[in-house]
Amino acid sequence: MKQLTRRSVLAGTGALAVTVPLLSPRVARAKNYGPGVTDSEIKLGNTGPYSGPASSYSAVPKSQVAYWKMVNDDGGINGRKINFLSYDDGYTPPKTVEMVRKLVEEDQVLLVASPLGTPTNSAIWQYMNQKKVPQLFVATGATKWDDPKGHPWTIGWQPNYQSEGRIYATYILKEKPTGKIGVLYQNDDFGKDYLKGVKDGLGEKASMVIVEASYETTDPTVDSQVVDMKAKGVDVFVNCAIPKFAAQAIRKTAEIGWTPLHILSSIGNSVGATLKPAGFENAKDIVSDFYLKDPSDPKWTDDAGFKTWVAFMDKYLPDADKSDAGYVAGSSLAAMTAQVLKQCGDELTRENVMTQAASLHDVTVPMLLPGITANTSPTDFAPVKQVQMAKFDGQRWNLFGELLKGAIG
Amino acid sequence: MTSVPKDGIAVPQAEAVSAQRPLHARLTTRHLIITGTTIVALLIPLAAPGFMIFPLTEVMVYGLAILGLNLLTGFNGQFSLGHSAFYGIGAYTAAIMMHNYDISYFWTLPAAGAVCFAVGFLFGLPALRLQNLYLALATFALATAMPQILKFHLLEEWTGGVQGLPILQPDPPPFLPITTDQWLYYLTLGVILLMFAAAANLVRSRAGRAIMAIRDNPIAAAAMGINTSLYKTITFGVSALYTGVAGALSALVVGFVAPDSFTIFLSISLLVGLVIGGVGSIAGCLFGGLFVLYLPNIANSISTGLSGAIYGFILLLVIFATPSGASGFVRFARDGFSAPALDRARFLSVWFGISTYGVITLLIVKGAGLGKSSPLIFWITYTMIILGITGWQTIMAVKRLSDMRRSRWWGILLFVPPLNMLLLIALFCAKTRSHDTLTAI
Repeated sequence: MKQLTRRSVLAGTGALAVTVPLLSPRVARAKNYGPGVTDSEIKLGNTGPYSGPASSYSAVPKSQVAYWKMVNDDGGINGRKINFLSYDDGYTPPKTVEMVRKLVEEDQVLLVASPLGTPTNSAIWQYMNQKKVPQLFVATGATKWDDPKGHPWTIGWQPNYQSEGRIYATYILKEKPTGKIGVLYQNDDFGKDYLKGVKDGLGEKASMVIVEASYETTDPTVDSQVVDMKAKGVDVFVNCAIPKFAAQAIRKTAEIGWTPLHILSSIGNSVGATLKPAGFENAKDIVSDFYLKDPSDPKWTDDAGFKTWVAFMDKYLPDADKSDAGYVAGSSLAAMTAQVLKQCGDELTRENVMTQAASLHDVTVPMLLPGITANTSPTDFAPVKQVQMAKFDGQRWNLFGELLKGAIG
Repeated sequence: MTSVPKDGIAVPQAEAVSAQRPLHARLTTRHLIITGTTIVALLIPLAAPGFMIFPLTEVMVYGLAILGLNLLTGFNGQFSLGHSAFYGIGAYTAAIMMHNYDISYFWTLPAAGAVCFAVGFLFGLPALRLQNLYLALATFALATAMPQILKFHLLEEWTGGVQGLPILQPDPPPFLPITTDQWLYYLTLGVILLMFAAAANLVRSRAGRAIMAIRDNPIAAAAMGINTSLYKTITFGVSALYTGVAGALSALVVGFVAPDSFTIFLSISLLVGLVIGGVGSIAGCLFGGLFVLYLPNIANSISTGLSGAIYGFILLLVIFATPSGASGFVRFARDGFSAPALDRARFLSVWFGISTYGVITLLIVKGAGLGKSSPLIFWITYTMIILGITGWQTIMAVKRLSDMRRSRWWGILLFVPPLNMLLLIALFCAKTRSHDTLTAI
């Protein structure tokens, strides 16, 4: 019997450890407030890759956290402090689902702001729309986020990759109407979006694309793709690669003495991450497109928006590397969300958040290029559509031409 | 338990004619724990909110996947870093069947199991030639290849390429008034009960002994007449089957599959869960699942920026405290109690282990979010866990005091904060004098 007593103690302890007891029913909310809002606080949720293979993007959520800290130090939004809950999802879709469910169901956030990554956002896409929780300004450029009819609770933000692709096509048609195009792209969402954009933009002249070369993120180099393009007589090289591979391609192009019209996608046009390792002299005359200010460009030193950003970075992220474009993107995303919350006034419901997010008129945030504004409507969920082309002069990017728009029809 | 004599419970001192012993005599601690845990597991979803049921369902899914790996590594001694691939194949089998062919979710589980068994068996054939590290390397290749195979453009029509496939989560049967979350939880619970029981039976059977004999000494096993190649490939297949079914369940639970969910990191997580739960232990797999799912959250809640470092630190701590995994620790602690005297080394390791697990359990409960949704019950659970830990520690201290031939009343010092440290040091340093069998209370 002594044995049994001790065992039942053990069984009891084991059972207790797993017990997750009853939940009391929730209290009804005040009438003009959605979940997560009180007179003094607005609760927002976010997920980002603080760990895992994509942790180099963690600058984006980190700068959002810092931005909201600044907003709170300045008195919050319409008198309410922002409680910004940012969780690590390690860039894995199941973890994103787990974390977002926690945010929505347990933490009861008003909205989920700018979760990062295409696969991760895809995993919660259906859920957010079923639950009718705003998935606001997602930090990914896939084209599918602009779907107000099918997914009215999800809204994109940056110019999507397809429209960038179209802009390159328009540029090529103007500069080299008889060119032979080679596209280097990453074998995944964003790479294929670029390729589709370029081809759609060329329209009937899609046959100008004579080489479509893909790479995997795990490949060691893209040298063979570049050499192959030269051999096939390509004279317009569209380089839609992430910084590591973009740099390799630029270096290889110079090594083999190939001088095509070289277009670099916005994903890989960071001076610090791509052009420096590739060698500035090799990158001369490359053309790319921008929608945010390049933090390493001295041209912006006296720009009011840039100064605001630098002041923010110095105070709230003093140790961060300012040439990392992630910090620009993150703070801009947070600033957009802040704008929407301001517009909401005291009607802080999830419905009103989407209504306001879908009625942005010429909104700008400090680090958007001058003249570029965010515009949305109930049928248009792609806030930033414009970009400006720039040419690298061996030292820095020089913007040229007008603002371009590559609308997806 | 099915053949319980009718009078088993009502009249314990039965007429003594039955060849079988009465029920209470045949019940072991194991039965009590399993039954108790199952009852608690059945009750949880009725009380917990959906966002808490979801991770618990995932814990069970990971536990099942870890069991698959355990059958191969723990019982058969073959290494695998490729189980993320089997998990992925299982998940994609379910997703493709449901998304492209509108087949009921119910059939996806056996199908995923069958597909993975076949793949595992076929992969096991060449793997026969590889031993230990070389096998680990070959399976590593499988794991690295899998996400890219799933993205491959010729398969895109089925796999959805990089975009992955969304799955409509199954609705509960109309006659059951429960939510989808609860239904998936019960479905998973049913599947794992079945498969854990099957695994327990397998390892206790003749085949199971053959499998373990191969692990312990392949040459001796062959000399005993065991067909080692057949058993090894079949174990590979069964292991893949378990992990594949777990993958299919995960697809149902998450409602979305994408190639990037099945990277080598998943394999490593499963391996971590295997080691933490206990190599060669069946129940330990569930503990491993708990660990795999919640540890990153704990690490992240302590510091977002340093989550990786904290994860590593906790992992080291747990490995240090319980080098043979959770199941090994339970055995170790139990042996300590039934031994004539609790010697000081064992006393310290058990104390350290219980404290480590206790703190982790508290962090898990804290992180699971009860605190905000129903504070009262959260505090009750919290207090009960703390009482559980301190209770065990008190029992240990008292037993140790007896072994030292000191008054058990010294144990009261445990509850006096500055003095309890001194007591602990004394308990550890003092010589064990008694070798009588002493049961503490």
